[in-house]
Amino acid sequence: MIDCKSVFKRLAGRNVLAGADMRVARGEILVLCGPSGAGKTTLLRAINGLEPIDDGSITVADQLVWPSRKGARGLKGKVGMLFQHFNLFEHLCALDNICLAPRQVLGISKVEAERRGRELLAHLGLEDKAAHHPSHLSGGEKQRVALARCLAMQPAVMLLDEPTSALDPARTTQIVELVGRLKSDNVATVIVTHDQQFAYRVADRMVSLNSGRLVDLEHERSCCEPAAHPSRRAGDSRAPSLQAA
Amino acid sequence: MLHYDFDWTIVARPQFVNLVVDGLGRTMALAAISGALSFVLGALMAAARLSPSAVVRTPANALVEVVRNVPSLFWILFFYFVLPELMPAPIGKALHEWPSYAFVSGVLGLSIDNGAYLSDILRNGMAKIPKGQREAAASCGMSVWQECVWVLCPQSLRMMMPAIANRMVHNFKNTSLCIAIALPELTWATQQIESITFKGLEVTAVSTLTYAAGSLLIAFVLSRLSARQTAASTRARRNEEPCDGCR
Repeated sequence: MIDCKSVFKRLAGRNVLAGADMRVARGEILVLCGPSGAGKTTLLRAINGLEPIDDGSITVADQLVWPSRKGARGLKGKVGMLFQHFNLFEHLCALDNICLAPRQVLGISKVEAERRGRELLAHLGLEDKAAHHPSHLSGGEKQRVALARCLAMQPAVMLLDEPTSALDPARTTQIVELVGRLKSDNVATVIVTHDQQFAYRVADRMVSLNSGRLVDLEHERSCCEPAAHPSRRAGDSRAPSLQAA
Repeated sequence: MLHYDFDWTIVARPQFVNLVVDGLGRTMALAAISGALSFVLGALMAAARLSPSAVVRTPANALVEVVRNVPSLFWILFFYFVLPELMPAPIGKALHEWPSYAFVSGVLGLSIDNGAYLSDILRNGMAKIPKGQREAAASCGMSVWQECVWVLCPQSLRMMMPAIANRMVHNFKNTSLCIAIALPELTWATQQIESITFKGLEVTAVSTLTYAAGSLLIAFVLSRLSARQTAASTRARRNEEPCDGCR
């Protein structure tokens, strides 16, 4: 689903990505770790077509993202990205933030888009925040609205940049369950996080970005992993599909 | 000491009232048409100036610089006197003989002048939208057009509205420059009445008040539009309880 081959990216005179190779299969959850400034977000942005790369190639959902002139727009919403700073549309309320792209890009009717938007908000515990504008939402609420906006496009690939950074432990558990549902829906997911506990709970595979290259952390994970949350198991009956929502 | 007898009945004489009303109508038409045309020109110039291609950006920047550094009056005179001369003889002659050409010259002159300033306002307004908004729109799969219509313009227009209102008021006042090409607008009508009656103060007082009222009206309408836009964007959805901050 995601195939990065020998990706090079130079930023501010430094090789942030120096031959990074990464493959993520359908339904796989890959957690990307690494110190701040290692280039994790840059790699996510490159996968989403927002950051051009200097060399190598990135293919997402059978579509060449780099080298290509179209970038993110060529993907037509097949990739959902939760931004570190959420990037909600400030002039729209939470529900309109979620409904805008499905209506404009997928051509879904207003009624259907709103029905689905409300369901997603309810899934994320925000049913009473539909009419609120981003400036009147807390950090955690914004984060969940941004997540709902991604999910509303029913993406084949999800890129989550620090999805739990603004959440309390209870909400983090909710995100763990949601990631489990993504797995059930066969969505390839890449998560960048510094939250080790969260990483262990959701990851199928963990890699670290060091000196511009990706290193597998399987050994470390097998030593430290706590019991995985039951809802992450594919096909779990307690994990209702978000695609069907 | 100079003695001046005010005669306010002049401003109520039907033939002069008709002249002023006719002039005011033409002034309003000039302001409205050139205002709309200048907005379109300004948007096109702003889009060209924001283009990543230097081939598009550079001529647009040069055009705006030239227009902004030449007096507004020059453009009105240019379109009225110079442009027909630059055209092939039959077209130039036809333009000279066209009864509405003075009005068209006025509209074109005002539009290009106001458009250059509006392009600056629009370009700066667009540039102020955080990069993350564009990225979020692109990430959602929106085309550049959809991003512009649904994400960038609604946010930037709200920020730009006071500056746009200022330019539109300025454009309304600039219509008085069309007196230079004998276009019978409000200032021309005032001058006519004064030259007939030698009672300039009364008529000038009336046209001054009319200009002031027109400017205030434009500013009021645009501020209401701006307020409506803000209210619409912060209004809670129908049948839902808005949050305190959104009220």
